[in-house]
Amino acid sequence: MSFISFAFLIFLPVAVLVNLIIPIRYRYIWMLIVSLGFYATAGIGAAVVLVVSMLSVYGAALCMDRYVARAKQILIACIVFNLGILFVFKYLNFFFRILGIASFGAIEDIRFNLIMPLGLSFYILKSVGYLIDVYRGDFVPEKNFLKFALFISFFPQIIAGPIERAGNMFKQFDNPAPVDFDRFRNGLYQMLWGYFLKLVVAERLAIFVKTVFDTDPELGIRGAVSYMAIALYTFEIYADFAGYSHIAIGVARIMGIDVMKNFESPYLAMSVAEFWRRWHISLSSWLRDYLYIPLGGNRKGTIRRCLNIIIVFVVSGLWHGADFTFLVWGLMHGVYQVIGKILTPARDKLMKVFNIGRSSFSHRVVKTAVTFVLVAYAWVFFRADSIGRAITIIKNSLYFTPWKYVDGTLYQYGLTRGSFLLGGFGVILIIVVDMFNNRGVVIREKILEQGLWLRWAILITGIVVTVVCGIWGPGYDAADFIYKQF
Amino acid sequence: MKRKIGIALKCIFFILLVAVILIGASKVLRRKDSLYKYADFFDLAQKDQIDVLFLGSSHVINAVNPAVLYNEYGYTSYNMGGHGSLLQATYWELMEALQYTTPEWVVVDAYMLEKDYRYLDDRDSNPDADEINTSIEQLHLNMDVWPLNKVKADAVEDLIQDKDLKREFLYDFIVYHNRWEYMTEDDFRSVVGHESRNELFGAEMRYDVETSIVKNDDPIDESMMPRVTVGEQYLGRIIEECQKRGIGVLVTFDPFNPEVKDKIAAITAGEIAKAYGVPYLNMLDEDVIDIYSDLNDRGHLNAVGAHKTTDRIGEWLSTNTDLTDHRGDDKYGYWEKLSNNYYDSIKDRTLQERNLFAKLNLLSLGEYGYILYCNNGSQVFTDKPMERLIKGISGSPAIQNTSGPYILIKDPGFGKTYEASWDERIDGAETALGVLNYQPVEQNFRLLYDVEDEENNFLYDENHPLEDIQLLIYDKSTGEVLQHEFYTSKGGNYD
Repeated sequence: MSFISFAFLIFLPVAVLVNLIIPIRYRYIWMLIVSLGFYATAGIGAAVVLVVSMLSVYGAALCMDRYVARAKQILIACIVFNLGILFVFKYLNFFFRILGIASFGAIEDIRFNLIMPLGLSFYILKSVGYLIDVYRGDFVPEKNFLKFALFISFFPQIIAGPIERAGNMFKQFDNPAPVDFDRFRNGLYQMLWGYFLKLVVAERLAIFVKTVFDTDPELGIRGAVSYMAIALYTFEIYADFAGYSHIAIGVARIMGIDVMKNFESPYLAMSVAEFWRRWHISLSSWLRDYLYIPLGGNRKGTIRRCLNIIIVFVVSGLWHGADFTFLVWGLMHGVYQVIGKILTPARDKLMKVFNIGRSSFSHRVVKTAVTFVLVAYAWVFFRADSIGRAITIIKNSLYFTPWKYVDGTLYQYGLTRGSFLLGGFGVILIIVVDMFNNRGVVIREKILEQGLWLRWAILITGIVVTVVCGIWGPGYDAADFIYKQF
Repeated sequence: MKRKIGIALKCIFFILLVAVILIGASKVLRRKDSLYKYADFFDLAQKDQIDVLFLGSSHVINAVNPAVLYNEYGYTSYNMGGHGSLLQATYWELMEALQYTTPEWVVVDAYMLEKDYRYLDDRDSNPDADEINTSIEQLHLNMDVWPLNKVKADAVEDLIQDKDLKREFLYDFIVYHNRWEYMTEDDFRSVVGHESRNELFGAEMRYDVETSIVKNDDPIDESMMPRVTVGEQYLGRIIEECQKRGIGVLVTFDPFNPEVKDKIAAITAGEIAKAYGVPYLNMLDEDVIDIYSDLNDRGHLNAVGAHKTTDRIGEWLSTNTDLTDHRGDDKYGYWEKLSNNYYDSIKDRTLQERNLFAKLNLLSLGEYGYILYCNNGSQVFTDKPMERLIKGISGSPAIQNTSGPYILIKDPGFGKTYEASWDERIDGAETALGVLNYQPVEQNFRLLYDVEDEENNFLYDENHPLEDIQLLIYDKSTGEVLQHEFYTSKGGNYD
């Protein structure tokens, strides 16, 4: 069941209303029931994999607590088992592909027709994080299986995160916040913003992006159009994933659970490293806590630090998808950061020579713009079907055809003028909201402070615009959330 | 407690407000084609002024003109035909309409009787994707306007198998919400009932002339369709429903250029009508239309073909039924007005039309008098489609037996047609222009003058030496010359 399905619009009110009338101490049972019900719509096979994974992690955590001397072996066995599940469903075909390439065709490129269970990558990371927390003694293993099952399968998060930590969730399951009118309203506003981002902005930009990315590059889509597609994809994936996250967080909120933020104005970052502190925060922090730091982090010298960064981002790339394009995408982000570190002394010197103030507005704008461009060009590998296609699109974007920005050419790639401009308006709105957010101002909360008439006007306008101008229904084939596939 | 009640009331009011706004938005955004076609139906049905319902596919939409039927016979009718409507869709169109009116007669066209798939979206049974897409898309024309009730739900359940598609018909906002980019003034006017309307009581007229006609063979014998099709079943249900309600039923097969399968379907329709004891009018078997001039395309009639077909049905109704002639009845002033509007529009269109085929065809409706002159050696005489058209409107084969010059004078006022070719003369032709004499003189000179004004040569063309065709249109009552056009024939084109 998708957040953008009619079924969900029926499912959610039922889940929320029953949740409201159930005594607080038993709510976790109801939340587990609706979570499993929600997940069961993904198919019985996926549900079986989920339950097997949950049982293994639940059992392993209790065993680690009980057999402390063998905790490491239990931890490794359970992680291998769960990563094995992930490997089989997500990486087996890719593995054979690599074998085929490495053996120059001696080993056949075998293809298994395996459908990856919904949200597998997300809940496996959540499980692995939980196991490591228990192993480290940061968290006492949960003995109540129902609560543990809810932690893994909590329906707002299971499809595409945020990848929560046990420490934040279990205490809330024990004592969920009372859902008063303000919390309810706050959650609804956040959901509406998420739906706006997904249906009005992301899906609209996706039409243009798809047309350009899926058209044979030899057919001559060059210059401004290619660059526009790259820029719009940069916002598409943000609006798509942030949209999903806002809906997930909003839904959790009206169920009485507070979930961590996943984005913090990422395109206002002034370096790639900062970008990763703002983008998909739950994954970035997971990789930092459970991979980068155990690898030695920045404690073992510059070379090792650079290597660790590269490893983390290659893993991040492969986590997103089993393909060379994702590998290159991750690698690029790693290399960006390594080069950034290496060039730091040179950049410092230039700053001194040209007397550029680090905190000056112009310098911050340049840094933000450069970071945006670097991130945008890396996204091309994330979106393209192959490395070759990605390189061609990047090459095509470098042709000098600025007149195409104004001569109507941009309206020939799946979006009419009105639709294109609406997409542009959405992008501007995202930037404005993020700029406020960057200054610590949450627009949603500001709206909630206003008088009834203004609040309602904004809310009703948001609903009408999302429902009317959203890309949904026949003829559009609105896709599911991009991150759901990971 | 007081606060909780306040919150609950605010929530209820907010939900109601959003619902009202979304309902309004759905009304504004809905595609207006269906409302455009049926807006008058609802008003006239409410006044109980519809005596005849015409049912069928786009063949009916283009073949039956209620404005003409009213003008010629005084019968009130509504054209309920739907583009791409199979007989099952036609059945449900009838069921929807019967909620609002009970006509005295239903005239149902049996085109596509041979279609044998149950659901319009059954892609397994019907491999023709275009046909399926057309049927589904055009079903919105039939369905959108009807309010959501049990009949509509039953109709959708019966016509569509895909559940997503069903939802689109029941809640069409799913389909139309993205029309926000294409909204016009009319979309907003419709909210207060001031939308644009079809002024032909559901009919649509076309004005082209199909010139690439290939006649198809007749069936080898009096063939019937080999098995009972879904189309036949629903034709039966239509007849049964009407009989149950005491409504007269006339089954028709409207004329066009049929394929063998259509001719077989027409024979079968006759047998079904016979089995139910209802009359059948197979216009494929009658010389109702001239397929060389009256088709807009292979399957659809143009306005002239519609005049002829409507006239034939009107004739049948006047002979076989006791329908009331409402002409002159003040209560039916709206019918009078729209009918007159239609004839006025035909007059305007005739003068504005630039295509010679279409223009001559429209002139054959007799709203104007006209003179067609083709010079010696004109390519008209080697252009078979044009020859056939002129033969059709003149009623004689003279055009086919000459290389020119040729003249045709049609005067509806006097009801006279005059023709001359080669060196023939016309003397004393009675027309609204006066009593005319025609006399060919030489290649670029001929005389056509009123005997009382010999100085005025109507066919004088010194300023048009290159054009080989002249068309002079005049008011059939006053004789005022309204238009004098010159054309050059060039390989079947006339500029």
